[in-house]
Amino acid sequence: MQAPLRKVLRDSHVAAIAIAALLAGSIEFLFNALLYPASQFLSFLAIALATHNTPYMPRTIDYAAHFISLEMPIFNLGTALNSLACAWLLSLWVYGKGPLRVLRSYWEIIPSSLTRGSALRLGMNGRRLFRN
Amino acid sequence: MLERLKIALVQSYVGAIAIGLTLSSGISQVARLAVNPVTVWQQQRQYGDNYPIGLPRPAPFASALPQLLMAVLLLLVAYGLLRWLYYPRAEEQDRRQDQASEPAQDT
Repeated sequence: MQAPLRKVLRDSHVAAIAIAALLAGSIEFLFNALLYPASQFLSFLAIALATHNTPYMPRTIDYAAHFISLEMPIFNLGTALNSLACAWLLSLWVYGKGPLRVLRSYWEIIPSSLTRGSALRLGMNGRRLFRN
Repeated sequence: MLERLKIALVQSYVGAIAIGLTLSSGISQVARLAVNPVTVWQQQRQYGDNYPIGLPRPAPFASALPQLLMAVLLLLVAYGLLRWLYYPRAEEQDRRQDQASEPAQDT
């Protein structure tokens, strides 16, 4: 009988790796989205503290500043949410639970199998199966 | 030779990692594809006034085509690798389960 795709994805740990990659991408884009606003805020705060005055703020905003300060963070935030939603959906479809729970269950398996001194024992034994 | 490569890829988890990363890239592309109409609308709203007069405007979904092709290609590569590396294993497991259940049914 042909194994269903979901079962193969789960047994081969491919789904867990894809979920981890999607979550990592989500965190990266979230960081990128918050980087510029946070740096601007810190810069504003530092100048205000150094000069004991309100820093200069231009009344109009040109295209480049508009793009960097508004559009890129929104785009990065959207991509981060996309990746998070994809990781969530994949995790629910394959494992039936959230991505953090899935990764936590792997976190419990991997260190114990590493301390045993052998390769990761996650139910994989390719050599034996392929030789049969 | 290919069988040894397959075993090495499975046992070292390099195959699983490669398939996982390819799959995640493919899924990300699909997600971006879903957001593409919003991006196109936003760009047209922003640059619509500055668009050169007389130039033909691209079709609404023309910009989504490369992403669509990339998504399909990535997902196909991931599926092909998954099938090559892990489907024999899954079939073997099924056969073992069947063999294990047969004596239980006999008794």
